[in-house]
Amino acid sequence: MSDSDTATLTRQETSLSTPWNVIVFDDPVNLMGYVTHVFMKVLGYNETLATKLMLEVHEAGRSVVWTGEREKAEFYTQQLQAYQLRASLERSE
Amino acid sequence: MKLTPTLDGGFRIDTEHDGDWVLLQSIIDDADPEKLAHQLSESIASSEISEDWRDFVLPDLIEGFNSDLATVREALKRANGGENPEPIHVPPKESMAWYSSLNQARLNLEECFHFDLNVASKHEDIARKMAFLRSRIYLELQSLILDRALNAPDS
Repeated sequence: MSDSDTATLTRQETSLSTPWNVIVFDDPVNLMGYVTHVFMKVLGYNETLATKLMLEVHEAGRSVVWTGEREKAEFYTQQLQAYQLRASLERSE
Repeated sequence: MKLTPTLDGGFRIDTEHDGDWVLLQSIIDDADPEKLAHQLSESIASSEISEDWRDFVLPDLIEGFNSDLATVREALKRANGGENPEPIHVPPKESMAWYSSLNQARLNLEECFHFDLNVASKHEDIARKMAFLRSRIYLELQSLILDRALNAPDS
């Protein structure tokens, strides 16, 4: 290798971004059937899963209804709020 | 008041006396779209996101909630409540706006009065008692809309 040659080093890095959780909180107003309906409509869940998550919200006060990349989590949270559900998002631990 | 499902998947509301009109108009008065949008936005606890949420999502929420209320307001105006009110026809595409408006009204009433179902009959304050009754009627209307319109196979 002469002095004028340029050495190129290639380094591979794999970065796994932290997933985000979409959370829905219980409230005293929204009908249980409505919450199930919204989970099916927004998150595309079947009725069984949507009902299970709705019951978790109702009984535990909150439920993680979706986990994944940040942009999609923001989109789902925005949609759930547009349907008047108390929804938030946080980094998954 | 009668709420009847229609063949197109929507529903129609027939009022029977003046009180029904007062009640339907109350949906608009009881709702507070801006306050609700702010409350929902405050659910975002992460400081990493909350500022952007206020700047970008909050205005959309306010606009959406206002748009739903405007749909109901327009339907009431069309039906021309008064001496000879027309039935209110709600096509399937407007069912969600009605459900949303009723929900906005109930969320705001709950926020203002914090109803306790166990002591509902003991409410002394007439304004509180009337608000509780409106909230219960809105709930009944919502249940019907959910069962007959929103959960219909093609909705």
